[in-house]
Order: sequence, then structure tokens, then C-alpha cells
Amino acid sequence: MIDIPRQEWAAALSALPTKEVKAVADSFASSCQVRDVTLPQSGLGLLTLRDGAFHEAFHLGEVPVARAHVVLRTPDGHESSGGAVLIDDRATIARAIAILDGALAGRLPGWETAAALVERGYSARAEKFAERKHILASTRVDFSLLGQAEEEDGDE
Amino acid sequence: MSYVAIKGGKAAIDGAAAAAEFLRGHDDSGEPLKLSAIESQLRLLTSRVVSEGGLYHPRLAALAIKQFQGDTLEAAFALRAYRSTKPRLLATPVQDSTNMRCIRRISAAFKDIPGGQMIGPSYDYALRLLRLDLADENPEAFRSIGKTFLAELSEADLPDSFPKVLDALRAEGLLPPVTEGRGEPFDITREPLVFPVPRSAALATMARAETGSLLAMAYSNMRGYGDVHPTVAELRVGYIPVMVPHPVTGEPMEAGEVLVTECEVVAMYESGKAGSLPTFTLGYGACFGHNEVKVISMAILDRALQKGMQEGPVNPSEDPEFVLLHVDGVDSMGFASHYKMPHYVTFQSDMDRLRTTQGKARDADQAPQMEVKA
Amino acid sequence: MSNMQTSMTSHRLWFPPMQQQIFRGLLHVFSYPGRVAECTAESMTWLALLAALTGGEVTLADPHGLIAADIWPKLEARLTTPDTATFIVADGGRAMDFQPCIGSLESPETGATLLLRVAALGEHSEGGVLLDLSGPGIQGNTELSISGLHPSWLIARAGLAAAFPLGVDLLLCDDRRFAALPRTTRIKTGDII
Repeated sequence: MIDIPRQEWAAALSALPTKEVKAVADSFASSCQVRDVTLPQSGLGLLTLRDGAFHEAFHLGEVPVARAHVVLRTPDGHESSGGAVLIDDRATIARAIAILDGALAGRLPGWETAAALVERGYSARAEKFAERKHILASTRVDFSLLGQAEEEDGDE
Repeated sequence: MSYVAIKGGKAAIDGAAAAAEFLRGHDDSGEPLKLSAIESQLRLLTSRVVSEGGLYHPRLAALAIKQFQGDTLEAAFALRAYRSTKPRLLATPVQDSTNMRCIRRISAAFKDIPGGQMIGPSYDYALRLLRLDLADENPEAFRSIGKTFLAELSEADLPDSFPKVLDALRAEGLLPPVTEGRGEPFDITREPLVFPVPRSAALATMARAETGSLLAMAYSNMRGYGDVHPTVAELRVGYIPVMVPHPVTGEPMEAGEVLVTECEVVAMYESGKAGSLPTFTLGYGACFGHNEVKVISMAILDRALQKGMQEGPVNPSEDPEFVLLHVDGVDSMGFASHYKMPHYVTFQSDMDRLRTTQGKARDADQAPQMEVKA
Repeated sequence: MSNMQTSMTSHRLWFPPMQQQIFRGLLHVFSYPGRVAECTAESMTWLALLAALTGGEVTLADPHGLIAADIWPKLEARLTTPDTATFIVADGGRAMDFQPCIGSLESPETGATLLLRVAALGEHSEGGVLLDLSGPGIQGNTELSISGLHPSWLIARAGLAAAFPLGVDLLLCDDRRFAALPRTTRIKTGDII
């Protein structure tokens, strides 16, 4: 079983070296038939953001988008669909992650390797998040202490 | 104006490219710049080009900076050109910056805000004294910077995201109502600006505007050609997760994250529409990358333009046409640069006209003298 | 039909080199109306043309149900009704039973492009029609023979002539070849051969 929800698999896998991710995806591609439902594409997406003042939507700019949608079919006819959309400019890595998404979701033979990869990616991301929190924690300001010190000086 | 095609220029043009490359390669160190070095050690420069290019691709922005030897206008131009070669695949659903994974979060309006103030990576409080030790930086010392900083990696008990300061003010009824669901946002990459334009067009234009241009316009408003009188309710820098529908399940999945700087500004209060209480006025600024001066300027201009649209512009920074048509770096740099192109025919006709006019003026001077003699 | 389309999904038809060749052919037939081009993709001509022409930002109508379900995600075009679509693919052997978009005076170019599947182009086969063509891109006159095109299409096209520059553009395809009849071309229908 895998605890990490499906919506975070792609982000977790993106945190790992692409060679590794592609290698595991290739192993599924050799043991299963992989059919492209849509052509793996790389292009641009408009990033739409809600403004904080009036909650109006506007386009902040463009981001690179790579996406893929595949169907895996095992030799004994078991099928599983996989897909991925990434902020990335490489259709190949989107396709590899889509394959792993399908293999994992369908518990296809060998899915444990894909699960292990997702977990490692998740830890790598958690490390990055911890670094950011350290930046926040080490720069925290407590302005209310300033007010206290002034009062104490005034008493003397 | 007519331009002249010139023969025999190809050799000179090839030579110009080679001469520029010669200067680029004229480095005693003999070491070509690594893109990762530009992206990390010059991260704020990279942020600027990412945002002015209008494409969130820090690695390519670093490449453009390297290729154009640090010229940010040319580098942004190169990014814009690159994006014109790629197909448009989607527009994301509307993302909410409340979910930002902050690395910096401050408020000038309040001491205490829910979640607290965290200065993050900032030079705001730094002394502007040159660090001469950077002139000959020890590579080992450089490599150990990260280790030293992270040595006491605390089990920071911090939430993943923080509420917006404006939401608290809104809950108290101090802010104007939100205007959600106004239809499709304006796409400045597909449609030209034909005034009057909706606010989404103004925000999109300013989000990829050239930093200096935006700053100058906003500064004019700050100094008195305007009266926004802003207070920064919140400034945050961090990574917004981009949620898009999963191709199979249709459920929101995280496609990646994007570094964004965002500023929400509260300005002078104004009377409400007939019957409603007065509220603060607001300005908003946001852009790709880490660029605080840009978003503060953008928020001030957002408020100024709102005022200009409602009451008619009194100052240049309140005039949407004046602001929005003159802040795009690629447009403005392109026009300035075009003056270097051959304008020989136009100028030849100017010279001919001047000579004729001078001739007539000389003739007119001589005529009265002849009369006196007679 | 559906099985043949399915086996095409990993076909080189979907990759840039073939699509560029097809696009070159389209430029040729639109520039010289009446000339017939060969489709070198080993697939149905109308599908090859759609693969080259459509993408995420165009609308496509399929009133006669020619396109198999699994082909739609590859075309990436948005399915709409024939009265609003940018591109329409239809069986030219059937009577015309819809009203395509003919554009507006401000934007006549938004008139639809119709891809019509016919039996044979450019061969003098039984039951066909011989068209006499003139106009932009044609030196003097040229002839184009078509078999398997229901008369209602040309009648409807003639009816639109008065609305020029509004109108539609036709792309005719048989198994191997295609030709274009843009709205600028004048057609005189000749003898049934």
C-alpha cells in the first residue's frame, strides 16, 4: 500500500533525478504494452492567479507544461490508465511519470518499485520544505517584545 | 519612414557576432559560466528576466543572461521569442496564493499577524558596505555555506501556509467587496490592448513589465504626482503549488511549484457607493521570481489606475494608456533600438528640406538690403 | 473503420516530419486550386489532413461520425456543432444537412473549412462530375473531376457566392489525394461523366 495520495505522485517523482525515473518507467514499458491516449506534449500554460485585493482572476504569465496520458496493458490483459501534467518542458519525463502513475494506480506487477520511488521523491521534497521552514523559523520577528522592553525602560 | 536594404552587410554582421563572442570569451579565468551559477548566485537577476520574459523557466533565463552577456532587456526578449515557438496547451484553473509555501512574509500595517512575521532572505536590514572578502572567495568556504546554515535545522513547528492579512481586514468589514466570477481573464499574449481594458489586462501587463519602468511610474505617484499613500498590508515571497486536473481522475494534482512575489497594499479610504460605509482602497502586485520593488510598484500603480479609471486621470501614473503602453521592456527597448536601423532615405529628405529652407531664408535676408541701396 | 483508425495511433502521421509534409501539400492545393496533391501518409487522407491542421485551439465538428473515439484525444481539437466549428469533416457522398459558419464582415476568415470525403479525385470515373475552375491561383481555366460528391454541396456553395467574402473553403479528399476549392474559385459544373 502507499500512503501518499495520487495527486502528489507526480510532484514527488519530479524531485528525483530524471534518469532514475525514466529507467523504472522503461522497465514497465518493456513488460507492458503502453498506448498513448494523447500525444505526449510539451508547450506552455497560462498561470491564472486570483488577486488578493478583489479576488479577480488574471494571468500572471506562462509556465512550461508537459503532459501525457497513457494506458498500460499487461500480458494477461489487465489495463491501467496513467497520466501526468508537469511544470516542465520535457514531454519524455511527463510520459515516464504517466507510466509510473498508471503502474502504481493499477497495482501492476512490479508496482512496489514505483511506490518506493514515489516515497523517495516525497522525502526529497520534505527535505526541501524543511529547509524553507528553517529560513522562516530563523528569521522570525516578535515585535511585541519591543513594546515590552520600552515599558521596562520607562519604569526605571 | 522607409528603411533601406543594404548589400554587402552580411560579412559585417557575421563579424559583429564574432566580435561580441570575442568579448564574451575575453575572460582571464578561462571558465565558461555555469547556468546553475547564474541561477543560484545571481538568483535575483534571473528572477528579473523570468518575470520580464513572461515565462517561468529559470534555467532558460540563466541561459539568456549568459548569451546576451548580462543585458536583461535582450535576455527577456530572447525568452519571449522562445515562448513563441511553443504551443499553448492549457490555462490553469485559478490558483490561490494563500497556499503559497512562503520563505518570506512581512507586514508594515501590523506588528502581529496570524502566523507571525518572518523576514526570510532579505537585504532590508543589511549595511550597504562592500564585502571585500567576496573578491577572492574561497571555494571550500563557499561550498560549506549551506551546511553551516542548515546545521541547526530545527524541527520548525510552522504551518505549510499562512492566512492573508487582508482576509482579517475583510472579515472586519474594512475592505471593499470582492468581485469574483467576472468572466475570462484577458490574455495579453493573444489580444492587443485596446482601451479601456479590464483590470486583468492591467495586472497581466504589469506582471511582465520592465522593473525600472514600473518603479519610475510608481515613484512619481509616491513623490506627489499622485496620492495613493500606501501601506503594505502584506508582502510575501514563496512557492505557489500549481494545481491542475489529473488527466485520468480529473482531480486536482500538483504539477509543480512556481516562485512568486506578491504584495497587497492598503491605501487611503474612500466613501462607499451610495448607502454603504467607507472602506480602504486596495492595490495588488505579483510577479514571477523574487522581485519586491516590482510588486510594490505594481500594487501602487494598480491602485492609481483604479482611481484613474473611476475619476479620470489627474496624474500620468493614473492614466491606463500612459502606464500600460510604456512599461513593457521588450516593446520599449525594441523601439529605442530601432533608431539604430538605417533611416537614410528619411534623413536624406530631411537634409534636402533643410537646405532648401536655409536657402530661402538667406534670399529673404538679402532682398531688403538691395532696396536700401537703391 | 474504427479498428483501422486505432492501429494508426502510433503511426508516424502524428509526428512533425509527416505533418510538415502534409502541410506543404495543403499550402500547394490552396495556392493552386484544382491541382491534386498526393497524401503520402499511410492512412485515410481526411485523417492525415486533420492531424496536420487541428490542435488544442481549434474547434472541430463531425456530423457524420467519421472520427473514432480514441482519435479525438490525439487531435486535441474541441468538439462543437457544425454551425460554429472552424473545421468540419463530413462524408461528401451524403447530402449536406447542416449550416456551417460562413464568417462575418469584420472576420470573413472565420468561415469554416470543410473536409469532404469523396470516392475519387482527378480520375474520369463513372458517375463523376467535371468542374471547370477559374480564379486566383489558376492560369486561365483548369479542370477537376470528382466522383462521389453529392450535388447538394456544390449547390450550397453556389448559393454562398453572393455573400463573398463570407463563405466556406472546401478540401476534397479521396483515399490517396486531396484538392482545395477556396471560396475565391469560380466553378462551372460540367457534364456528368
